[in-house]
Amino acid sequence: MTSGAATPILDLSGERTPVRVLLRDLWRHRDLVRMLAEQDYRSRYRSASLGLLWSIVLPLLQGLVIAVVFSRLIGGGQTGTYVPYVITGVTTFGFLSQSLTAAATSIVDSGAIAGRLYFPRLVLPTIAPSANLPSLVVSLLLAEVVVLVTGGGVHPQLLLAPVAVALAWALVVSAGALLTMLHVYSRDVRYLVQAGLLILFYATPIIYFLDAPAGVRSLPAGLVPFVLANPATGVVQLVRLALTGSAAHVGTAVAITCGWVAALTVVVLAVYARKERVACDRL
Amino acid sequence: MTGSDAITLTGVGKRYTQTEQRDDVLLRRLARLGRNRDRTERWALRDVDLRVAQGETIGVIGRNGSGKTTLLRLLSGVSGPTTGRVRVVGSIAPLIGIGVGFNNELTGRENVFTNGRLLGMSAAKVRRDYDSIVAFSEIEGFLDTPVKFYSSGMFLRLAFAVAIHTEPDVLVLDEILAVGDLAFQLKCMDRMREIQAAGTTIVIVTHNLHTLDRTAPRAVLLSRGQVVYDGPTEQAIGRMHEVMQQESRDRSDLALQEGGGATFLGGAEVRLDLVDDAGVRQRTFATGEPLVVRVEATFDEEVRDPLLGIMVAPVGLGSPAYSTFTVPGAYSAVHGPGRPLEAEVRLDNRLLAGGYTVTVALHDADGEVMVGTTPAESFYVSSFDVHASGLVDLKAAISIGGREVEAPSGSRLGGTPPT
Repeated sequence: MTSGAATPILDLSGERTPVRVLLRDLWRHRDLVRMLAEQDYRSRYRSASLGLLWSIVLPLLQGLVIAVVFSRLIGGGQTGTYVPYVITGVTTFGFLSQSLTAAATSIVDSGAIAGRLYFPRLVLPTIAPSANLPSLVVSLLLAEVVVLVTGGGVHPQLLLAPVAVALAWALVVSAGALLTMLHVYSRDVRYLVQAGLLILFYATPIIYFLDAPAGVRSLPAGLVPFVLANPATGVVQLVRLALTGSAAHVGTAVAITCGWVAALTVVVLAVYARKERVACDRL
Repeated sequence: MTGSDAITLTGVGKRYTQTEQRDDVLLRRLARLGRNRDRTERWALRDVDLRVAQGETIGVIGRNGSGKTTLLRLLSGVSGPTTGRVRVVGSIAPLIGIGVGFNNELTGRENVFTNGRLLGMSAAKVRRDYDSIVAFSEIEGFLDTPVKFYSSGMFLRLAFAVAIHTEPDVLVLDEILAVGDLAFQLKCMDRMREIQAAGTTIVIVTHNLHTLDRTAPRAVLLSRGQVVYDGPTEQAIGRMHEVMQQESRDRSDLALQEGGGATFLGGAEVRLDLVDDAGVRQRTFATGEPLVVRVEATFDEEVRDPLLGIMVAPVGLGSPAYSTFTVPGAYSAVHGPGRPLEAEVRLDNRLLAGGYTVTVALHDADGEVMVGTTPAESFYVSSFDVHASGLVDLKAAISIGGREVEAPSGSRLGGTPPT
């Protein structure tokens, strides 16, 4: 039997969960996030013989193809800077897109467990982004190799890489948490997320420059505010700053992304306080 | 903590809002925004008060849709009450659906850890109990094999082994833990008794009324979301059968009132006669003497391929002694006004002395809607010639030391014939 003061008490009145309880339960289950993320990670790559390699090679390949094709369209002779530019963008956006897609359906997808066992529902949208972290880190290391090979140098901004990874994680977790709850109530969310990501890809400076080097076409100035308002831009630019040593509008972009994360977090807590204990009634 | 309540429910109600399926489509939903939506509200539980003392074992019974599952979900914290308050003191392990959360791609070992944690064990406790879990599962050689290669028996054993090691303060069980071969079942039962003896509060939601009787001294009967009985298990089971009959009658009344489509709803008047082999009406039948139930049903509405069910229950003892029904598709005919149904059910009466009731019911082709039922008709069984007591004559042949020992015939151990 449980001894001493630590006797857990389940006390529910009404369908609301106070935010304090929500956060406390989440903290108590923090090891569950790690555990389920590990399980997700391992089970995903177990049956593929190349395993983790696939998740690194694919964005790298995608980045290279885009870089080679677009360097001819955007301006000749710029392949040297363009390749690392595109690869950092594609790798980062790949993480955001894959993690968000999985997180946005996480509650419904784990309905069999979630409908029968209680653990904070907020655990669920954190699993996929956490499970994708190892491949993001390895991909970024490879991207840094590409940067070095194409003539970039080692610079102190590299120390910002962990911050960039953390920001990417926080963005997909907060957005995913909101979307997955909406998904419980409307299954259209899955497709809206796919459509949204397709648009976001072009609203993020991945294949074009925000502030192009001389002689290269860059984004028309009128469109820059829209691209900066996109929360993915801050993440991508911060990753670029860390890996290549410079990124246009990085301060503004990161500040806007942080604003998005903060706003999403507030909304998520408000929504989960109301819906956490009843969302699974609908599964 | 001894003496206090482990579970306290005060005025608990749970309302589910069911929106029409099409509301899940966003466009429709947007189009209907601001207008009254097609919502049906259903109270799965209403005004439930329940106190369970620390260390007590109680059963929760009731037919499907009575609110059992909802109660279980509230107790395990999966869902929150719409009204009232749910309070559970101590750690809770809900064993609802064995093997839930197992990942097929992962090995048995990996699953033990994740599943244990999902069921509320700390990571340290899983590590501590790991050897014991493996020993209990009896599948030592396969722990590094992905679960997808397990036989269903191995899978269940491992899932059970984890579940049974949770050692919570409050254990919430969906159905009594019994699976696998007999030896494994006995092992599970032993373990249950250990858990009980250790002072764990146990709530069992079950259909298996016979096992419940032995496991839980107290049972709560739910009907239509309300507690209609709370007391000794035997009485609760008795009440359950009364309630079920009442609800069946209400349902057929409802069917009569609403009328409706041919097979979906319709009213039937069902009559039955109990006759002996020679076709003579009887009230008393001797053990071993055939019992024939003659059924005649007339219909107000057209009914297609009805299913016929029959239940024999001992008077005063809740559960039926026997029940069966015709298999869907085994019989095909359309009945309706002017086209009655006549049936004969011949029973090999192996019941022992006592009073019994027999009930016959007609269902629609899906077995879902009851079209008509008879009130329970009672009869008596005398067993003067049978040296046995109980419910059923299992015709024991006893040999001691290789020599057959005959029971003296004519003497009785139990049962009194009616006068």
